[in-house]
Amino acid sequence: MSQGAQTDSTDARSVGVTPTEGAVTPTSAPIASGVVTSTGINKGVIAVGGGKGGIGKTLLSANLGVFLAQRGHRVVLVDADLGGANLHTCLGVKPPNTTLSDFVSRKVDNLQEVVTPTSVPNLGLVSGALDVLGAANPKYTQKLRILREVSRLQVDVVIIDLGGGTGFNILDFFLIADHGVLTVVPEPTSIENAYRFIKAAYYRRLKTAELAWNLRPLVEEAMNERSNQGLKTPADLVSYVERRDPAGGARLREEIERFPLKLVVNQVRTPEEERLGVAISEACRKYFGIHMSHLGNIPFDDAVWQSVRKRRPVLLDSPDSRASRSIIQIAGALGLGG
Amino acid sequence: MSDRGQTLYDRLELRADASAAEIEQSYRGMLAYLGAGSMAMYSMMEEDEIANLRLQVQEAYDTLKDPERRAAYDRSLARGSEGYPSLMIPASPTDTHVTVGHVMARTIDTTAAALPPRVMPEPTVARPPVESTPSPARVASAVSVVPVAPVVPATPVTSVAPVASAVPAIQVTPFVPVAEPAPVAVASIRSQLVTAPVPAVPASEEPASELPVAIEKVAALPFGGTPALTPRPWTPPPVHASPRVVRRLAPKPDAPITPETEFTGAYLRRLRESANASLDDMCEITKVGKRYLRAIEDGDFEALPAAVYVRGFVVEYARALALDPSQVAKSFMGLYKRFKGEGG
Ligand SMILES: Nc1ncnc2c1ncn2[C@@H]1O[C@H](COP(=O)(O)OP(=O)(O)O)[C@@H](O)[C@H]1O
Ligand SMILES: [Mg+2]
Repeated sequence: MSQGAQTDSTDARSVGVTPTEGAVTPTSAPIASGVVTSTGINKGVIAVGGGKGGIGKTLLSANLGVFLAQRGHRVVLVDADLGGANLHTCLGVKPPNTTLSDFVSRKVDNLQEVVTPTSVPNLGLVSGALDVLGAANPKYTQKLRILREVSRLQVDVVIIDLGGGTGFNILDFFLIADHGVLTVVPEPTSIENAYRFIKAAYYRRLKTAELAWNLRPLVEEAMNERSNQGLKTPADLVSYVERRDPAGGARLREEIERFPLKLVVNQVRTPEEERLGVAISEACRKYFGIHMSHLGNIPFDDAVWQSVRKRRPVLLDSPDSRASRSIIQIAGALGLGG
Repeated sequence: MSDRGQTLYDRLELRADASAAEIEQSYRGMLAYLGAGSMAMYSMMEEDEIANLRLQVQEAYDTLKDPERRAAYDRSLARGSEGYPSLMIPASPTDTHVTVGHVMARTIDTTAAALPPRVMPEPTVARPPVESTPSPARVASAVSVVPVAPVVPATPVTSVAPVASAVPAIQVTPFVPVAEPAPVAVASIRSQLVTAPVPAVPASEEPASELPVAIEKVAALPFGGTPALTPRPWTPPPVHASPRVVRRLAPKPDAPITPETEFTGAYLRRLRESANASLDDMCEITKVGKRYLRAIEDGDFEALPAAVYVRGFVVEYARALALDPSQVAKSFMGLYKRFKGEGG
């Protein structure tokens, strides 16, 4: 299985950016993505965030995992929700005995060893992110180690269920992902949090990106000028750099365009809300200069909360529900529908 | 995101040879996030910045969707009068806040220019009825809940025009070069505008905008002829005759209003209070900043901006109280000018 999965990594099922892409694309060489350059062998890391609780991050993570596992991909779900780790509940499994903290404390050497099986074949779970990342100041090297190992897990797809905040730990997980998926619900508070999240992730990425030597000071200058020059959006920041160094600005723009942001609108009820995703993505393109593709909508569906009560993923509990079908479509939009 | 030198095509992200269908499509797409009822940009920018962007898009659309106005605009572009300068007041590069009419535009980029108060009416066609679902209630009050019209593919332009198309198409548009410097031209158009009778339009074409519109008909007014000003008792027009739907208060004046009535700030305040409306209510209805409303009511001319803006504010104020905007503006602006004359 593992062989088959690796050899077809170029087909439609492949999850976006392959680990070597950064190295072979000359234009991207000076600006590596994220904190950790993903050097693992897996096809892709999907991180699901949104800057707020109760907006369907766990719903999407768990059910994407179930769907992909059913399709024969080897999937590991990582519960990185600091405040409310509940993936195991959604999957109907007991809180796993071995957790991420065992890996951090080096009780186990290999992250693979803390992966616990679920009732779904091919679907594993890494739990216990809570105590590790919740620590006030997790050591940077520790975090790097986790991030590195996550992206090296010997599986096809890693799905990280992030917490609701916009702290560095959450952002760094988000930034190693090949697909940074944001969920929002059609409420101003959620949209506000999403924009806050996007901006924070973006600036974090600029801060941690390996920028070309001559670009770094300019970007830092722009970040420092942010408040007093009215550089309110990422687009402003790029313009600032571009005015001073057109070539560097262009490279920065390129880098930003590769920011792998995706959007899912959850709890959609009205036709107007159905159009919200496209509107948000257009507004982001226009005013943030960020490309965030709209993967799809998940309707508000009673089947969802009913399945949560039964502690079963909706995809198993009610596979024909509108919510389940929409999640399958979202997998397709990620290039993982096959 | 520079506005200066931006053509109307740029504003709609179109090429100069865009088809009518493309114009329509781009406009609809932008309304989906810029429209007054859209949540998509919530917190991305200040509400007034969004309103300002909305104005710019509306202005571009209003011109480009009309073949005659578009042709005139194209000619002016070809002549090299690039952009759409006549309505723009360039911001000084150091300003981060430029007060323009009731739009407090924080410039996004130092070259941004801003617009005098104009408000984009919402399109009416294909607008879904306000839903009975609880969803609009979940929208914060800062976000008005007019549903955004769905993106409709290339429908005939006239059938979706959000602005009264019954207005006679007069070729003179703000971008046509004139002998005067542009801002003066605008001022003169505006002063004509507020005294001009508003042509009646079929009810079906009314934009259901919640926002007042100060000078939406600028482009339809000829430069030359000032409409005759015959003072006459003001009777509020029937709602269907107005090109906009504005929430109106019902003031109870202690004496009947006659053409001789003087509209001082204090009198305006009394009328407002007689309608049981707070300054905040007024602010919400008129979209004029509270600071300015207060200055108007206090007769604090020192605190008020240039006449062209003050007139806009007063017109909105009058509208909100269902008064004759031209009478109120004339009266108040007389006081204002007398003060300015004295001041130097
Ligand atoms: N599409 C939906 N339809 C109905 N209920 C939903 C939907 N999405 C989420 N919910 C409800 O909201 C709760 C929170 O969702 P969850 O995925 O746990 O959010 P998060 O992980 O972002 O905190 C779920 O338990 C469920 O009851
Ligand atoms: Mg959760």
